[in-house]
Amino acid sequence: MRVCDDDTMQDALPDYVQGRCADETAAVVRAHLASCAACAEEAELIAHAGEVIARATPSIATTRILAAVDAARASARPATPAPASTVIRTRRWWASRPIMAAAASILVVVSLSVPTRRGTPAGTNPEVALERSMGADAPGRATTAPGAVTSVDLAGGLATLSSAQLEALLSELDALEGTVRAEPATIALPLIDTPELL
Amino acid sequence: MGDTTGITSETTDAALITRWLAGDQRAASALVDRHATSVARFVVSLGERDRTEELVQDTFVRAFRAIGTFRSDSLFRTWLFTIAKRVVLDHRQSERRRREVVELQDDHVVTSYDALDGVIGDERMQQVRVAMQGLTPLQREVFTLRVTEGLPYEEIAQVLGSSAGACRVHYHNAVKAIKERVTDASV
Ligand SMILES: [Zn+2]
Repeated sequence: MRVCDDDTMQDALPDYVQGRCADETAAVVRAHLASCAACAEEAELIAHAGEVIARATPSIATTRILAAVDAARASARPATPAPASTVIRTRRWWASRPIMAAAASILVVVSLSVPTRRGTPAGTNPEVALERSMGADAPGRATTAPGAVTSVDLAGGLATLSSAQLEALLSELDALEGTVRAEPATIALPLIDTPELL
Repeated sequence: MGDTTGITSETTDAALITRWLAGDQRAASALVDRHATSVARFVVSLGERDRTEELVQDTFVRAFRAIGTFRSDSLFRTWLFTIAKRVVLDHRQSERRRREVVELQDDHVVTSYDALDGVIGDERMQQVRVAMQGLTPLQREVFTLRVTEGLPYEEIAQVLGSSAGACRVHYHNAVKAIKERVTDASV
């Protein structure tokens, strides 16, 4: 096996073979190859090896990758929340059916329980703040919301609702003040800046 | 939605990431188009030819999800390779848990280029292909990142969690091994 002691040339071969060298460097390497059988052979092998790797690699459907990225983005909070679009992203993030169902369960309980508490004196109960904000900021909603909610038939429980019905239900509940407070704490945790992702 | 015009081959990855975060879907498309094949080649070099697309897809999904942790002082492509490596290891680990099989060792990953057996007509290239099968996984990863992806040793070291010096040694050992095997096959 022929050998060459010129480390600089040998280090330059992969970039030369793949056409990544600047013109000047390429000219120097080319001149070296003309007089060095070892490097000429190595360059030929590297070129073949690059071809083997390229041929062994299946072609990739980038549209499917993009669709997967889009779907993941739709169901996950972005790494860097942009303040202007936080509301939209937050809404999309918990729009998956199981999470919607879980959130809706809690929200229905909260919103349906609010009117029954109306006559009770304000104490230290954390739901009082919710009741107050509903009463102060959306007086109409405070009384009509439960009715609006029950326009979706809840007789069979939330499990029987379609995604569209859950969406509708959540839209109504979304409009209420204080619904964010009623979201399960776990789904408000940041999903992105966690080391295990990498 | 951000501005969706003016993306060219000159637009940097960092600029595309910024545009994607601002809602420009075309920026994601450009990033995927630009790097998917490179990631695929690396995945194949890791011995996962049979599920290249799935792993490349997972790499991009994970990358876009964690893009807020990407430091613009490192190259996006190098970062993608780092994620691809982790994705492959995670897949193997979960597969191992699922099937309770022994850890995938060298004999699993040497099959990367088996699919080309009989496909390549050129005898010299066949010799190179067979010679490459004999590389260690680390040699093959370094070789691929250096030759087809053009990564400098410092970046290869980042991807593989090694040192630039060690990667350089792995590369030259890989070339030497290929050379020797091809020479042996030729006599
Ligand atoms: Zn030489």
